[in-house]
Amino acid sequence: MVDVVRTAPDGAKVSVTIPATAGDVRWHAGIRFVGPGFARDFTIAPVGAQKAITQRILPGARSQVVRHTGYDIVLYEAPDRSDSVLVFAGPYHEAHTWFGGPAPRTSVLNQLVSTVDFADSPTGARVTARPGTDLQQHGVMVVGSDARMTVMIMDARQERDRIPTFRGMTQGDAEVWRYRMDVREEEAARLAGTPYEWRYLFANKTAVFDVSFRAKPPRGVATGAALGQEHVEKVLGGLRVSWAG
Amino acid sequence: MSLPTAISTLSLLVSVFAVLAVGAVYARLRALEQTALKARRALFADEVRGVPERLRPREGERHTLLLQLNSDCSTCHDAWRTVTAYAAAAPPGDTRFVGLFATAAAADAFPESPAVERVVDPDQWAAMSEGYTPCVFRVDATGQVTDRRFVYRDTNLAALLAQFAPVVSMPDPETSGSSRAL
Repeated sequence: MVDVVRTAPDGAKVSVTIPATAGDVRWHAGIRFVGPGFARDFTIAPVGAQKAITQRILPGARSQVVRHTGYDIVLYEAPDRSDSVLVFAGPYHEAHTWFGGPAPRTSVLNQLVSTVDFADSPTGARVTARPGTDLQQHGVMVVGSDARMTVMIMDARQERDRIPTFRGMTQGDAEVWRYRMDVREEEAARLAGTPYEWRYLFANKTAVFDVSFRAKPPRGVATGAALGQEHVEKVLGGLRVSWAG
Repeated sequence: MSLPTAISTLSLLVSVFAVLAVGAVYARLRALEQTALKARRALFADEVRGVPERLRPREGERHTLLLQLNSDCSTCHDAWRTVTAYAAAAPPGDTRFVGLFATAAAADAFPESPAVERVVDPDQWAAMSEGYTPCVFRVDATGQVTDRRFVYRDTNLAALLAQFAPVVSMPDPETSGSSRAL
C-alpha cells in the first residue's frame, strides 16, 4: 500500500491509498476558471512537462521567459502562430493553459498574470483566482496515472450530478458503478469479457473518482506481463481516496 | 444628561471614529501595497529583485553566482561539488562564487573550498528562498538578480555554469563596438 497526499489546484488535500501493485503513479491535475470576459483551463503536470511542447507538440516554438519569485512564466508560440501556450513553471510542477491561436497581446497576458496566482509545493501546485477578480472555479480534478491505470479524483460536493441515481455496489466506504469504455467497435469486441471492458466510478462521502485500466501500455513503455482480472480486482479493492478542504 | 457627560460621550464617539478611520486607511494601504506598489508582479514582465551589498560582485567583477543551499538535500551536496570544481578552474576576478546558507551548521556540512565563499545569513536566505533548494542565481554588478534556475538531480549544472559564468572571459557584445564592426 502506498499512501499519497496530494494538493488539489484549489488547495484541497487529497489522500490516496494505492496498492503497491498498481505501479509508479504520476500525478497531474486540472482546474478551470470562468468569469466576466475570462475562461481558462489549467492543466498541472510534474516539472519538465514543457519539454514536450518544444519537442513534440509545437516543434521549433518561439519562447519567452518571464521570471517571478518562485516560478517562471513561459510563453510558447508555434512558428506558424497556429497555437500558443502559457506555462507557469515552478520548481516541482507546471500549469499549462492553451490559447488555441496566436499568442495574445501583452495586455491580455498582463490581465491573465494578474488574475491568477500560482503557488507550487512538492505535493501539488495551487492555481487560485486573486481576490476581487470575480471568477468561479470548476472542474477541479486530481489525476494519477501510470502505464496501466488512470484515476481521476474529484470533490464529491462539486460532482453530485455525475453519479447515477440508482444504487451501486458497496465496497468499503464507497459505492461503485461500472460503465462500458467508450472505444471503437473492434477494440470493444477485443476487450469483451475482460476487466478492461469497463471503467469504474466510485463515490464516497468526500470524493468521486473514476478508475480505468489500459489494456495495452503506451508505446515505448514496458510493463512486463499482461495483467488480468485479479490485478484489477486487487487495485480496485485496495484503492482508498478522501478529499478534504 | 448633564453637559460634561454629553461632551465626554461625544468625544468618545469621535475617538472611536478616529480609530476606525485609521484602521480603514491602514487596510487600504496594505491592499495598495499588494497591487499598485508591486505592479510588476501583476505584469507579464520580470520581477525586479536586488541583493544586499555583501552578496554583490566586488570591484572589477561582473557577476556573482549565488548558490542557495540547504544541508539536508543530497542534490545540494552534488551541486556544491560541481560548483567548487568549476570555480577552482575559473579565472579569478570575473565572477564571484558564493554559497548562501541559512545556518552555520548547514554551512559546516559542506567541505570548504578556496574558490567559493560561504555566507551564512538567515534573513537573506529567507528573502531569496523560492521554495526549493538548490537554486542558482546570477547577480549583475548593480546587485540585480538577472537569472535564476532550479537545479535538479538530472540538471547539467556544469553546462548551466558555463552559460552563467564562462571560463574564458568574453567581451560583452552589448558594450564593445569593435566586435560589431567586424
